[in-house]
Amino acid sequence: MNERIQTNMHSFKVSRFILILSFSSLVSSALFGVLTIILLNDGPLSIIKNSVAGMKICMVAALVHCLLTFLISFLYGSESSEKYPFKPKITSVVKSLFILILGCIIFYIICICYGAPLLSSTTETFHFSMLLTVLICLPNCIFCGSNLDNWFTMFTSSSANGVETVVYFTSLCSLLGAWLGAVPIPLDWDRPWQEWPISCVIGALSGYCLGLLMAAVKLPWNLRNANKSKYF
Amino acid sequence: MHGRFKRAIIIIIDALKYEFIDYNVSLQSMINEKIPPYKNKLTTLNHLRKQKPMHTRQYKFIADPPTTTMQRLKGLTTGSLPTFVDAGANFQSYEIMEDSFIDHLIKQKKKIKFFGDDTWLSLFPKRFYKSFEFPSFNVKDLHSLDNEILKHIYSELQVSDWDVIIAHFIGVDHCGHIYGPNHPAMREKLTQMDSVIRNVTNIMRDDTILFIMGDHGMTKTGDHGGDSADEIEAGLFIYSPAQIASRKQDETEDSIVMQMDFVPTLSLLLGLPIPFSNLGMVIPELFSYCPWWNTASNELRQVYHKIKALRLNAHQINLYLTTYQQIASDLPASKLRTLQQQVTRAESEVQGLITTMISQGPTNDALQKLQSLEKLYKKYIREAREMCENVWAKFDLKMIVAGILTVVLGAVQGLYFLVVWNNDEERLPASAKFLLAGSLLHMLYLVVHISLFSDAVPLMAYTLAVVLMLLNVAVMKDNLIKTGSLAEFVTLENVASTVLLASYCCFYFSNSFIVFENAVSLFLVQTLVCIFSFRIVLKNFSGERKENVKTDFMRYSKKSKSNFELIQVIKHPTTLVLVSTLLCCIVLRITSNFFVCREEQGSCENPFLTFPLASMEGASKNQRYILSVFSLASLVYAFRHWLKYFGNLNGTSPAVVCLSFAPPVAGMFICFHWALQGLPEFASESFSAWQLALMAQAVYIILIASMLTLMLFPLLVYMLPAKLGSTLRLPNQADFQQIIPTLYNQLKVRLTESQGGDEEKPPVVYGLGSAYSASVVAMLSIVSLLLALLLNDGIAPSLLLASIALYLCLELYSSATASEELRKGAHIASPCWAGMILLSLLSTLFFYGTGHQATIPSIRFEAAYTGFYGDFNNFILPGFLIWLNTFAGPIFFNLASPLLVFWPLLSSALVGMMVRKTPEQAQRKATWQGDFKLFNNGIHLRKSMFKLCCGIIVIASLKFLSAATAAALHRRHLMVWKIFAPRMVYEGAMFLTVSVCAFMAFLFVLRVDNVLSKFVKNIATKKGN
Repeated sequence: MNERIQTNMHSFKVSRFILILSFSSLVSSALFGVLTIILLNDGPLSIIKNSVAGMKICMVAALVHCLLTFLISFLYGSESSEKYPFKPKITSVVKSLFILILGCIIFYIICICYGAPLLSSTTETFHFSMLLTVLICLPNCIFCGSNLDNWFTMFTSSSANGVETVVYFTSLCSLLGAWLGAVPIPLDWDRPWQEWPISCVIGALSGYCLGLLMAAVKLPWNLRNANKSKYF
Repeated sequence: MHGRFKRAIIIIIDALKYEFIDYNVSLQSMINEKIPPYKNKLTTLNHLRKQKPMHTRQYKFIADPPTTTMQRLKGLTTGSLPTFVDAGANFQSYEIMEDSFIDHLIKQKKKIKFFGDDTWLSLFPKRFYKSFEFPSFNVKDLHSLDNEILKHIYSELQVSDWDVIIAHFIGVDHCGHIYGPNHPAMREKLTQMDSVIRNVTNIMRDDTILFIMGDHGMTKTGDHGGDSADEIEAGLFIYSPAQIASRKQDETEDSIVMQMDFVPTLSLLLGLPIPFSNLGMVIPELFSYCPWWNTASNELRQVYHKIKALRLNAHQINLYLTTYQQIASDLPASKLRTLQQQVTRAESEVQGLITTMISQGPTNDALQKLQSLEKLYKKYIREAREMCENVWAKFDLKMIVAGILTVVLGAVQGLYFLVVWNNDEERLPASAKFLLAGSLLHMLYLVVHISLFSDAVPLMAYTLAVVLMLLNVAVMKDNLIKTGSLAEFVTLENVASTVLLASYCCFYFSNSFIVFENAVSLFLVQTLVCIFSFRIVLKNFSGERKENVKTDFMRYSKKSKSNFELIQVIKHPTTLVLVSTLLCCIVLRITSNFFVCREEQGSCENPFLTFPLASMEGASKNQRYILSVFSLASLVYAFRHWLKYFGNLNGTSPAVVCLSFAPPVAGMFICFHWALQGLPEFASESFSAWQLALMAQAVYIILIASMLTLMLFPLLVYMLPAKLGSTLRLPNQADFQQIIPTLYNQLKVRLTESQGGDEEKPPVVYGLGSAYSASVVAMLSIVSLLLALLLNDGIAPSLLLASIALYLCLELYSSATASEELRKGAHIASPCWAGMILLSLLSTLFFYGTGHQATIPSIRFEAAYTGFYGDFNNFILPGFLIWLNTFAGPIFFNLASPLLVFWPLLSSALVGMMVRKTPEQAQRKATWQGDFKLFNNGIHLRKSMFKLCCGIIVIASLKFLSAATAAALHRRHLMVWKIFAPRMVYEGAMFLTVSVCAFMAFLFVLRVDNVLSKFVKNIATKKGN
């Protein structure tokens, strides 16, 4: 009987955590959408006027979101994430930093390879690769730990539920968004946002936003399925 | 009309741009070195204009695109509008059958002397009283043609047995092609032209008029053919010692005349009838002065004299249009009627005016009336020309639809073979024969229809195509559902590559994407490569999850010794995958250094690698030459190393001997050839033409000989002589792992069967494990050298990049697909759809990466002159060489297409390291058979090769289909002739190239298979004896 209550308590905690996570993802998705619109419009934050500043704002926003999610998982979900226990060790922090720097460099090389100008607008390219690192590698570092194996394992298995789902969707979608963002660059519409890397930044950001939205829908869905299979 | 002049001298300076003749006073103060080499060099013209303003005229001479010499000559002699397709006939100049001023001169028993470009002779054979013609095709020859003209022209000028002299100088154009306008050679050339003009004007007499003109302009890189302002703005300068106009030319504004205006002007000035099909307008200014009419005295006479010329011109055009309408009836009737009314009205006004002037003398408003008449005639001629321009840009919609339907049918048919023949059946299903027969019937019907009744709508072809398509789709759908191969098809890389191909096809509908297609294709190839590597990574980790034991062990070791972690990360197969992906991406990115610009790309500069070596100076020349030599050497070495690694360079069979010696020797000769080509002009003049071509000819001979050898003896395997008995006395290279002695159970069984359990060991055969792929690679190495020779020193390094990219892509592709096959336990490796798309994208990328663009002027005609000189009798050989140059990338990659089947079986070192092995796979390693595995299953080999061939053709035809549909949809688009139509033409040529190459590769593999089976049979019988 006691065990039953305990499992019930546990499943209640898990559900609460999942629902809070889903809600926060929904809210932050909306906020990211608003941020994208603000960046695109004329104004002091316009990314068209100053792309580097715009990218810095995006990075700060993504950072804030990561910390927020981390806070949520720290407060509510300490039990659920036993799969990847959080142990703040100096070595893993150093390793994560190393991974982030490496990720930034790799993203930079990939940007160049995909056709970004080699000699001109290096600042923009560098900021864009930093942005991609913050959007993709940083959440992975925080929530999946510094072990690269865990990252890829997460991508191959879709069963995980929790923060991993959010990270999975946001990183995939922002990568795809950044890729799609390059499509309008060659068009001859002569719009200021066709300049490298503005459209890609917007693409990555809206991908992130979309990923959050998908995670917000997917989390309760997974939870329901899991409960179903538990009871029937 | 009376002839104002008795004689005319027409000097055509090929590619004489308006900028070249226009004297810029503001540049006078500058130092000589700072003036662009093409500016202010024709000082005589300026001098004449200053001294005798009434005797000279200078015009912008607007050419109709296409701005290629033959089309321009046609326009300059007949005054008719050119057509787009004519441009293709530039190599095969045909005699002009239309009415031209040349023919009228002959009819009037006038004598024409001709000097220069022999294109004229093929256009007008046997028309000239005396001709000094010289071949013009050799672009590298700047001076010999012009010097030959100069040798004769002055003496012939002074003998007065001629009425018209035509001299066509070609040096300026060649100089533009080789060095571009901004080169000291251009200064020299134009100065020479200036002296020609000075001398000719000094000799001229009063009854002679001189026209100096360019047939087209040139772009900033010195090319021509398109319709940019730089290309169509040629220069025209008219001079006579006698007065030609009654007033000074207005200096402030540019006077513009069309090139076809030259024809009626010249005709009427010489007192000839205007050619029948002319659509040009006389230059009225030149008819404003006539000494016999005393036009100087009064303006009325001047205007009237102009009107006389215009009137004749208008009547000629009217007659032409009326006759044309009777035959072709495709001019809009209402428009034609208004035009005819204009002529009739003008005519009656002229008659009325003359009558009143004769009876009453000049009235006050006569001048005004005449001026309005002049405007009326000009308006008429202009409108008539515009009408013709609009009408003749006509599209045959029914044929467009039939063509597109045919391409769709072809693509669907190819897809059918790819899909339906998926099961293990040996024979084609019965439906295939039926559908094939239907397609053949369709083609036959189309041919008959076009040749017999081209006006009718080919309704039967439509219905046939649609019905066949539906049948195809129905059978395919049926088959897909039945066998469930659709689920098998849906993998990450297949879906992603299909999406990429679809988006590529969509891009053909947007002009911006076509303009930047080089960057777009680079982007897509990179994406596909990344997807492949992502796939490998996913596979590695999904495999890991299954082997829990192993993972746990790894975790344990990590925990105990964290120092080892870094090493473990480095040793991790995923790291290798990432590194090779990055390497592949970087190599592909470097290819963009070989992209040339097209005019629409705006701020874009051609990379220095695309300029000919001869135009460079100093240290950069040496550096570039060393780079080219180095990359060629690496190319040769890379192929050789590969063959050696798989043990295919052992023994003394003809093919092996040939492959050991031919590539290095040929490479050396290619380097010598480049060195000769890079010599500065004064040095290369000391060689005669055959000496300069000798090296390239030697390369041709070596390569063709080795190609033939390889076709006759395609096997690169070596059987250790049985006498040696043991493997102790191996050849020298054999002491490494490099050479993989392959033992075959099957052979063993056969031998034991025949010998009844003899104690003799099974035969040792080197390189049998890569028998198929080695032959393909060997052929590829020889073809790549040929392509390197034709691409010239600057672009040749991109072939090295292509080989590296091919290698890395094949490795990634094999890793992504090979282990999949192994896990299934099937020995069958059917070619993967994603791999074919990768190959197709790579070949498009390297079409751009070998310095080409999908535009007409970017064809590298000079490739026809590698190893040949002088004039060509037929155009098959130069056409073939230019084709090899243009499609070097696609040829390279599509000849390599069989490797998509063989490579996964080779499981070369990199693949082994990239994919995490299961114990089962490790076991297989011991009985490695390589692509010889396919030999055991001959039908399967043929089937997969056939499917590969089909797949490649399907992809190419899908791309061609979208390019054609885009051109058809955008046929009224502003950019259709500049962007969509050339793209379609190129895609069509690409489709043919790809199909031919894939098919040749297919045949070659069949040949290898054939010889291999003989070889194996031979071993068996030998042992049997």
